[in-house]
Amino acid sequence: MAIKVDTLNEGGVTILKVTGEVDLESSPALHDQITKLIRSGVPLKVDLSDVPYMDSSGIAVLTQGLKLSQQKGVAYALLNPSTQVQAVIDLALLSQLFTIEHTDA
Amino acid sequence: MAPAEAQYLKALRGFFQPILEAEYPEKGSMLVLALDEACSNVVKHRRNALMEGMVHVRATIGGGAIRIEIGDFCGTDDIPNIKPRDLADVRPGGLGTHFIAEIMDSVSFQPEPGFPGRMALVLEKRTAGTGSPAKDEGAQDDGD
Repeated sequence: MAIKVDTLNEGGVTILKVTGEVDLESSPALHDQITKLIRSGVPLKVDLSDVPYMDSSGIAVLTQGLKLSQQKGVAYALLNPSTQVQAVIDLALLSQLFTIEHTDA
Repeated sequence: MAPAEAQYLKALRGFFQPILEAEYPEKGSMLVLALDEACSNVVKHRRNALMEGMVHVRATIGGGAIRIEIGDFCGTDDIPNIKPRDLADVRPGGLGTHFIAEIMDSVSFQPEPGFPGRMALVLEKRTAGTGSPAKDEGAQDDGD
């Protein structure tokens, strides 16, 4: 698996910190993590600041997470997407669909 | 050339990324995405019948353009099924094809010489340069 995922809790919100390249090989692991966390019912932010590369399978995982969060009524946001990830989100015309937060200085 | 398996996609990207970014600094990372999406399509759908489980990629740079060729991408019968999805329909599938179409200036299928019914996927992007002599770059099958 080409990615590392860590979770931490900040004020009742789970931060899923993703590190590494999200592609056809690694996206299933990210899907499993996001799905599990959303099903737990806790608000989720997916930190994408250390994701230097994401392909369409990664975008699909983020989109599936969004749909599941809406079904479950769970808050869901993307946090600090890297330049490449933001470019791919824009390419998919999804930047208006996601809640994207930027906390970096 | 590399095995048509997901675990080799990163190595393919790693091979081509410096070449494409050197030639097209502003959009090199997007060209890498297009190449990766095309290779991922081969891995996912396994339409390549000739290459015995391998994905063949060739990048040609010169004449004011970058040309990326994915060998034995599909059969002629597959072509109608290879299309981007409606982006308003929020679901997986077809997004990679949309990316390729958005990033590249030209996307086409060309017959594989000597193999009736088999098609290569050819992606082309014009560069700002005036055009240096064409040179080929192909990934090595070193198992990385």
